[in-house]
Formats: sequence, structure tokens, C-alpha cells
Amino acid sequence: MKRALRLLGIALAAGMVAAQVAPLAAAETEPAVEPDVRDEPLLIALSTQRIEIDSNFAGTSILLFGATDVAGDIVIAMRGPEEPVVVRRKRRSFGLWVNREAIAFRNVPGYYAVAASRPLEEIAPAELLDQKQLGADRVLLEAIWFDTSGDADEFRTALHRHREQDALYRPEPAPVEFIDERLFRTTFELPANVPTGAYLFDALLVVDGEVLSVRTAALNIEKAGFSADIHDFAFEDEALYGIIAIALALVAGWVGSFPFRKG
Amino acid sequence: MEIYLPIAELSANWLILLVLGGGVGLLSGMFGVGGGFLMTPLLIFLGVTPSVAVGTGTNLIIASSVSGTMAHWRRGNVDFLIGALISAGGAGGAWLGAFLFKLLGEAGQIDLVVSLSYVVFLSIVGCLMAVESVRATMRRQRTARRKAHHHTWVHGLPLKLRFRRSRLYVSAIPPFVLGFLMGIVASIMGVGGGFFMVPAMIYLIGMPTAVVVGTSLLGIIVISSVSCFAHAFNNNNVDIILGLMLAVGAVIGAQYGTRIGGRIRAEHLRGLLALMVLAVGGRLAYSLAVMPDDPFAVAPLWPNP
Repeated sequence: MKRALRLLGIALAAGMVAAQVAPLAAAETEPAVEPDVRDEPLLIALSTQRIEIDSNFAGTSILLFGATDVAGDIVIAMRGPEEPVVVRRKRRSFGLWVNREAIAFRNVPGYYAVAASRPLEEIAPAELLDQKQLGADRVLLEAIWFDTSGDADEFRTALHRHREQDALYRPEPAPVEFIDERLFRTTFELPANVPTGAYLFDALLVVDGEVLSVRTAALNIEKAGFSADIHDFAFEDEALYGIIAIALALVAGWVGSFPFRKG
Repeated sequence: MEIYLPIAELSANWLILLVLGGGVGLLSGMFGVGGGFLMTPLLIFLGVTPSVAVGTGTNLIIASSVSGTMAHWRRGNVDFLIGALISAGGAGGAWLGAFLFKLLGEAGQIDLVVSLSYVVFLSIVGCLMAVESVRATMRRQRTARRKAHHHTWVHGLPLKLRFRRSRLYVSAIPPFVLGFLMGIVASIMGVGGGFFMVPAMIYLIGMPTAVVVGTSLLGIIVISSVSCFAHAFNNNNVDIILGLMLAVGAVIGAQYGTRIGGRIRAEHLRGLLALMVLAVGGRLAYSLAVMPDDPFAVAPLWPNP
């Protein structure tokens, strides 16, 4: 295992330079190697543990490196922060298109992507893929309330479609590349509109359709800068924000009329 | 010169925002209207959510009505007692309106209600103005004089007060109720509501025309302030960056608009405004009536964390 670790360190260092991690904040250079390294046959590390979104953020990519002692397949799922989501459907009534039906889903990940060394169906049986929610179309969307007589699956499909259009769910797995027999790497693309919050990586080592080892890693995405401060202020101290908004508008109106005042 | 709007959650060029504010300010100065009824739909067309467009609209209206009120105040054209009654009723209405806004938002119907309110109000106001403008153009010579003071059912209401500046002795109820209704409309539509208040003050309360605009502007400052606070507090939909950019443009634009407006014949001005109002209303009606590309919409279940 020691050899694998050393290799991992080298690969990370090389990867950092090669893959231009410049858009990721320079402060976060410490790779996230799991502290508790027992005799697990799998290890993973991220190029960063924290991403800051400022007003110029145009998306970024995150590198995941890993090493394995056992020949097998690698599947890595990345999930964004979960929140309840409502999907509404417009129907025509009295000539107007109006929201008429709705279904709310519990714990919908704000981001989902998966990477795999081979097509998922070749790596593991469908039951295992379903159980571990591997693949964007296998993300469990549990309906918690209905305001429709229609089919919940139509709403699920619509939710998936919206998330894919926003580049927040990746329908096809990204490739996991093996650098040599033991070392692998993959890249996750994050669009400009990624939700902030805690992200979780689940890496699975699959041999003969069975999970041999599981490793997790975490990433935090936060907003930073002036705009983020205003946003937080508006949501955390609503009353004061409201008063300041009024005061600013009063002053703007008053000052704005100065140059035009007659005599 | 991109600037990220923290509540609208989109990037915009600040010069474009200034020009947009200036354009609406110019029109509002020319036509003597608040401009909220143009700005809110424009923001929606630009991709701002109806909720943020309305919340930010209330913020913008505070700024654009302050300079107007001060100009009228200097000329002594503000009836503070009526203004206070309108404001008192309006504050309640504005708070109720913002609360209704929240309930409608949770029911997923706020976009529809905002658009529909605009279609209804803009069509009515646009048609009335168009008819009025055509009539005035056709018989410009025959200036029919209205009676300065005519009695209606309004004058039979109790709680009468003496309004010195307006030279009126009428009930305190109509200004209060008028303000209350205005407040609801202002909070739901993100408008000042001058287009609705001014005719009501002239025809319903019987106020002299000279005092009406200044007094209604005073009411609008209070109503839009309460509405802005209520939206910021309940709905988190006031974007101060967006509001300020637009306000600065609008205040400057309005000053130039007033000068241009003075040079155009009143009935032509009203005809132009009517066309503009109908165009905005028609565009909103079209987007409600035409089949959407995607009938499904996705939103967080709890929009306010």
C-alpha cells in the first residue's frame, strides 16, 4: 500500500501542474488524502476541498485521483447539496397556460455526475447500480406530495431534463482513465450555476460485479465576494436589509435631482 | 463591465442597466407617470424572475417618486393631510399585498397573477387613454369645462374632515380606502399606481388637479417604502444593486423627460403612452396565451432558506 500512496502523491503533483488548477483558489493546495489509511485496496484524493464562487466565476473542473491495489473497475459518483424540489406542470385553462399540477420531491441533489472506467452496465448488475444510485437516471427521486392525478414519472423525467439542460446532471458517465495499472484519474465539470453547499464523492472499486471497497471525499462550494455578502445579508437580516434598501432609494432619488434643481 | 446581481442571480452590464433606467425615466418624465408599470415587465422580459422584478420595482419607485414629490412640495402642491390618510391606508394594503404575494408564490401562481394583473390593468388604462386621446385630438377647440366641485355619494360618508390645501370638506374614508387598495396593487405589481390613484382622487374625492400629482406622489413614497420593506422581509426579492442602477438612470432620465414632455401636445403624448401601454400588455398577454416550450417548471420547495 505504501507504494500506491507514494505513486498517488506523485500523480497528484503532476496532475496539478498538467491540468491547470489555476482557476481553483491557490490557497487550497493540500490534497485531500484520507487520514485513516488502513489496508483498503482503494484510495482517492481531490485536487481541492473548497471552491469559491465570486462574481467572475464561469465554472470550473475538479480532478479526482486514486490508486487501487486490486485490478477492477472504478465508479465515482459526485452529488451536490440536496433540497426538496417542486415540479409544476402548466395546463391550458380559459385560454391561458397556468400551473395546474405539481409534485414535490424530497432530497433532490443539486448536482449529480458519475465517472466510470467502463460503461456502467458492464461493470455491475442493474440491482447494484440502482442500490448505489449510480448514473443520473438512477438518482432516487422520492415524491413527498402530489397535486396531480398524472404519472409521477413524467415529472421525474421533466426534473431530469431541466437539470441536464442546466448542465447540473450529467446523463453519460465521464471516463475514468488509468494512468498505469494502479493509478487512475477523472475530471468533473462544474458549470457556472453550480449550487453552493457540501458535495460528496463516493468511489467504488468493483470486481466481478461486487463492491470490494468504498471511499468517500468531500468538497465545499461557497460564494465569496461583495455580491455574496449582499445576498447573505438579504437572507439573514431581512429587516435591516429592507430598511437600507429604502434609505438608499430615498437618497438616490434626492441626490439624483440635484443637478436639475432650478434656482 | 459586468456586474453580478446578488438577488436576481444573474450577470448584467451596468451601463445597460443605467441606460434602461434612463429610458424608462425619460418616458415617465415625459408622460408624468411613475414608470413602474414599464420597468417591471421589461425586467421580466430580460429574464429577471417576476418575483424579483416586482420586489426591485418597489425599490426603484421610491427613488423616482422622491424627486417629483420635492418639486411639487416646493410649489406647495401637496396636501399633507390627504397624503397621510392615503399613506396610512396604503401601508396596510402594501403589507397585505406582499403577504398575498408570498402565499401566491408558495402556491406556484405568482408569475401568473403578476402577468395577468398587468394584462388587465394595462389594457384598461391603455384603452381609456387611447379613446381619450383620439377624442381630444378630434375636438380640440371645444374645451368642455367640468364643474369644479360636483357632489357624489362620496360626500355623504361620515368622518368628515376639513382639508385646507385641497379646499375640501369630505370624509376621511375614501382617501384611506383608496390608499389601501393602491397598496395591495403596488405590492403585487411592483408599481407606484399613480395611473390609478390620480383619476380616483380627481373624480372620486374631487381634489383640485393642481394638488393631485404631488399628493399622490407623497402617498406613493410611503406605499412603495412599506411595500419594499415587506417584500425584503417576507419574500427576499429586493435586489438593491439592480434597484440602485435603475434608479440612478431613471432619476436623471425623468428630468430630461419632463423637458421633452413640455414641448409635445398633451393629447399626442397621451396617445403615444396609450400605444406603449397596450404594446407591453399585449406582449404579456401573448406569453400567457401561447403554448410554452416546456410545460414543466422546477423550483425549490422552500424558496427562502
